[in-house]
Amino acid sequence: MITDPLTSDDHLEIGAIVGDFTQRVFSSDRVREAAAGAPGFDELAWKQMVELGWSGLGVPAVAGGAELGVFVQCIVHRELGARLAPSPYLATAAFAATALDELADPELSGGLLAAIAGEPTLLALVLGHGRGWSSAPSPLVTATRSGAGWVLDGAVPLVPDAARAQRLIVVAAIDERNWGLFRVDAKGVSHPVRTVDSTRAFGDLLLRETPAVALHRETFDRARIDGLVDRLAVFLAAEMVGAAIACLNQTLDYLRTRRQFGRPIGSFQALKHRCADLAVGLTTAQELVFAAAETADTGDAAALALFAPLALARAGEVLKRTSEEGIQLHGGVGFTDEFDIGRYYKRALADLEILSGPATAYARMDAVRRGWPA
Amino acid sequence: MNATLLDHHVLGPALPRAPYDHPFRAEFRAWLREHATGEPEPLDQDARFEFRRRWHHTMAGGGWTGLHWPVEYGGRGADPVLQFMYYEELALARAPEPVNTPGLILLGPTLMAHGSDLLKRAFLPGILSGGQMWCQGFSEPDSGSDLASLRTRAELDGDDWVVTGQKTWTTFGQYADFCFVLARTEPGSARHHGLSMLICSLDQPNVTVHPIQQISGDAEFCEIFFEGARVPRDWVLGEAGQGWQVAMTLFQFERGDQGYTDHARLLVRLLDCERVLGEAGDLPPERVRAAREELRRLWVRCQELRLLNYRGTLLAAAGRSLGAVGSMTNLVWGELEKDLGSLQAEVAGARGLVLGRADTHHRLASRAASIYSGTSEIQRNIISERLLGLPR
Repeated sequence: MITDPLTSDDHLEIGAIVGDFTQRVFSSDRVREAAAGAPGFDELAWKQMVELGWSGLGVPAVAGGAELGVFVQCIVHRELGARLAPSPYLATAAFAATALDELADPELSGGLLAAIAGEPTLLALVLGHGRGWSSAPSPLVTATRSGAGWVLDGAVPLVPDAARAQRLIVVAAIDERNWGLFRVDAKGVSHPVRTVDSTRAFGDLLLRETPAVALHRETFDRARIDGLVDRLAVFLAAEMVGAAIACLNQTLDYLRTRRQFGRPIGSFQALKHRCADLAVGLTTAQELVFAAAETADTGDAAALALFAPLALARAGEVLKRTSEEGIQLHGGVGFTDEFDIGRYYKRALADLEILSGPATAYARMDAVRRGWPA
Repeated sequence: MNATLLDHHVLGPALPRAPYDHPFRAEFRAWLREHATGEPEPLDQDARFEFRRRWHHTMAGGGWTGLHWPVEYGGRGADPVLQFMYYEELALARAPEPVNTPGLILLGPTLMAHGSDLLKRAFLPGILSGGQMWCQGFSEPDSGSDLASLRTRAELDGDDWVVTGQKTWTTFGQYADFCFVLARTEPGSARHHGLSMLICSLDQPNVTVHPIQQISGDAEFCEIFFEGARVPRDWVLGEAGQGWQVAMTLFQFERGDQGYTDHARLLVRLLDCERVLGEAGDLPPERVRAAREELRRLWVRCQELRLLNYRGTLLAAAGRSLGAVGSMTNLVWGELEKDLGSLQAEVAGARGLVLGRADTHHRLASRAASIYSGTSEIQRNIISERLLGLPR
């Protein structure tokens, strides 16, 4: 297969352990079963992952986490993506935990982070500024003081995992310049939406004077939100790359075994060359993702501000193309529900909407580059 | 001289293991600031070669050639990560392209791996200093991608090998003093067996070097005719008959060196395109718009090539084989080089047709990039068969 950016013994071992687990727990049958019931949820698997300590991989040690960093988390994301795992891992252990770690006051968020690391908690992160790096013309969610606390107002469509989250972590506008991080109870404000991808539990959010608890001590500006999105993008991109690897592998298996005209169809050069191009795209996208992850861990925010949109854009393009080509290269069975290849296509479409699609990611990349010294 | 060195941002985001504040970069930049001129290379090929030769001597004088060579052979024993930064810094200084790369990158290290002490002593110093230029004699008119079908033969006659045959696509053969020739030395042998790697002096009457005129006006490649050329018996790399293994060693050096797929030079050229587009030219707005979009796509592809080179560097540093990363790098580089050549001429508009301009020249010259170091199609075959395991 393609070159693995994992080289250290530690990382390879983590990769092998996670790979074994996900292969067992997120078999095709089990994923289909879980997705058919409550979209995007395998409760038992989530409990096991929490027991194994994986939900706390990115949680600071003071809050009871393992604090192993973005690179190690990306190893987990890659495997989850490969299995199309219906798991709260991305929304809770990556998105919500990172937002709490980056933007909240440790004293106010410590309990939530400890819960992520120690119990099968279900959270969702609501980005009330817009989506990914792009801003809505006016904030989607605003926060207003109400007595000793706060209330939130606004509507956000298709928030990943909001349909089953217990609590929501919300980025909301306090005034034109200042933003805050809040916690609200999900009950009654999030409404499940059925999408093409039944392995992710999207929910529409409607907040109307919804009581909220502030998690920030000091407010923050728009640039901090972009910095947060940089980190979230790396996790999502790692899932996309994992899905694309699995997608290519399934396609290659089919090309090696399916015979027509007395030979395996994978021996036809027209098909081989298409697979070679997919493998090149996938290799470079994966390199970008893990370079971004390593950069996040070394704390070089300026480099991450470029690597993150690059990684997200390329991982998104590559997953979409690999799954589209995967369907085509499977021929007739490619568009049947019996084969998994079409499920990767559906996941690609959903993943492209979770943060920013390639166009927005490239625009962000351009904006960062324009800010460079000439 | 005091060349202006471009800022590191031109290269893209800093890579974790080749940081911009690395002391090696600072040391090399200090030297480059003193010695590089930033002067563009002449378009005339002979002048260009001389220009590069002078630069080679300057670099050798400062001890900056053969960086990766062991100290005992006059190098610095630099690891692949330093080598990676070395090429990036050269590009940022707009320094001329290295000359004698076949010697420095391919034959020198192959000599160290397979050569006798006599050959090492005789040839390594000249390779390093640029006193002797080298070229490689592998491809033949009927053996391009299928190298093992080569027909050039050599027979022992007293203390000499006598070489007969024709080589082609030999880069800068007209300037070279020596050629390493892969020839069949066992009559009746087939394919990969019975081949030997010989060192042949080109300064003898039985050798004719004929440059091949290209569509760009250059003649970077030559046909070399060996009509009873003589090679001393012990000027063989490795054992006689083991030439294929020696050639494979040599190819590994080619794939492992960023000098062949230098992302940094492409990024500097891209910066130049960006500057041209930023000036108020006479290009119609729709062409400017299209060029800007292409520019961004190419910048992303340069970053991808950069990461492939980086991965290759890290693999080499860990003593691991490059595997199919080499083929991927070659494929990505060749296609990128062509598209950048097109963009450079595109931003010049109609002037990109005028002879004597660098952009005009580069566009035509770039068409060779996806052909001469293994065609893109061969790279795709290698990737799909060796890496992806698709049946032949």
